[in-house]
Amino acid sequence: MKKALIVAQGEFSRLLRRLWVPAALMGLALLCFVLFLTGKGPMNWSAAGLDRRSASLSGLVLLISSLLGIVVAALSFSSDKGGGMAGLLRSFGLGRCGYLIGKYTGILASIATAAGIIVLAGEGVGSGSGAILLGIAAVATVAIYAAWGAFFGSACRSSLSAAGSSLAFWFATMFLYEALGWALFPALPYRIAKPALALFLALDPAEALRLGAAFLSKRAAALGPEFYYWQLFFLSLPGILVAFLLFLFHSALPLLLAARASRRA
Amino acid sequence: MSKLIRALGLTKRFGLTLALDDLSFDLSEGQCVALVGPNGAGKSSLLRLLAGISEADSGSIVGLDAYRTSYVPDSLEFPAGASALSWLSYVARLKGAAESRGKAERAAMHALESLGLASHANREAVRLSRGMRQRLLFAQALLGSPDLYLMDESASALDPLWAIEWKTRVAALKSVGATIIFSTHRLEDAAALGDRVFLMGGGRLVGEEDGSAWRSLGPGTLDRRFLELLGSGAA
Repeated sequence: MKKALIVAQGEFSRLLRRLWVPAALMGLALLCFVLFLTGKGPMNWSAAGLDRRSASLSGLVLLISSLLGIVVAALSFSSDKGGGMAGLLRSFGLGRCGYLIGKYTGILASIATAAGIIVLAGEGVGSGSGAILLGIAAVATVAIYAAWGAFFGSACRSSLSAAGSSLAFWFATMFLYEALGWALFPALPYRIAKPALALFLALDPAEALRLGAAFLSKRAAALGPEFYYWQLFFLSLPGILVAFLLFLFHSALPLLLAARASRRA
Repeated sequence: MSKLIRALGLTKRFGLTLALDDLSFDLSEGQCVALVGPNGAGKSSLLRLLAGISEADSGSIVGLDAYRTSYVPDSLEFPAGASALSWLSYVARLKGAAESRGKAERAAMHALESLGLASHANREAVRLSRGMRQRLLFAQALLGSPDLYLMDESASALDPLWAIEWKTRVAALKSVGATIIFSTHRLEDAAALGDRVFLMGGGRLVGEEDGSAWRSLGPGTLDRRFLELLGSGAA
């Protein structure tokens, strides 16, 4: 445990030393700051309703934080694997799980720092709970996508293939999955479509995160009556528990796959 | 009581490639074993198994738990932006050589000084010359008072001066009772340092020579003996 903590600290400072990572994080923070400043952050949703622009800009934050999380993690894990650092660390008696958790925590902490800056930026312009909601959504997004990055970084042979696979996964979950839903659901009978839609949305990390953000900001009713009832459930205590379990599933599954992939080294 | 390492029937595959093929040996405490053999003979795979980096597909290794092991890879991609000192301090903490950051930094600086790298302490490790990076890897092996050293061609990029120094250091480690397994392509190094010389080929142990017998052979005879053993092992 202590060694995993040292790895996490090392990963945190290592990521901040790589100039493109803090630059991208600052860019993300700046984007959020502009959102809050121009009044298109999530604090306006309840007051002004869901307009196309505020939804697009907030969605952009989720898009960028997920992309950042998956690519940073994939490159970090694959360079450690290909460059021999992962092996050397294991020779110090650090178990595979300790290594995985340590690195993952370090990556998460560095990007969560950016989320902290986002919250502070939002607080600075008086967005209140909207900034906190966006911070929570960004951290959850990074947690899930960085775990998938850890998997691709551990499973792929080179940094290039890890980055390529990560981008393909990100694109598929962010855009293709949604398109598949549009193609699939109109063909289904209504009685099957409703539970199938819930399952369909829960299985994709991007859709689950988008929906989670909509529930948190209480704007899911704009998506349809079903979503309004789901929002009521997810904002209750059993719903929060289900959402937490879903979050655990989405972040633990790729980490388990990453641990399995690293055994093949 | 002497600590014994026993490897039994070690087999390791990478896809279709058989890296280690039913390899067995015993190693007593304080012995120094030189692994020699052509590229792809299985030397690095064996050292990685012993270091706990990879796992054998079949077979077992017993007795390693009694040792504090240090592994020296032939090369490493150092993290971008990390100085030699900060990287070594990080290693010192991970190896339990120092409790606090301050103590780790002092231990790291001491190791850098002993390997002639003190003046490069604040340089980015990744920007050091290949020989210097190899010295840095040797420095990390010295942290944490290990008693089993596993060195994978750890002198391959050293200049003649440091290659001589490396031999002196390994001899010094032997003299204080450390157990050492090192791989090398330099037969003279194997003869000079090894109590036992393992000749590997095709993932198997094709021959074993007594180090003192190898030391008695001249350089030309050493080459012939190596080729003879390799030929008889392959046959």
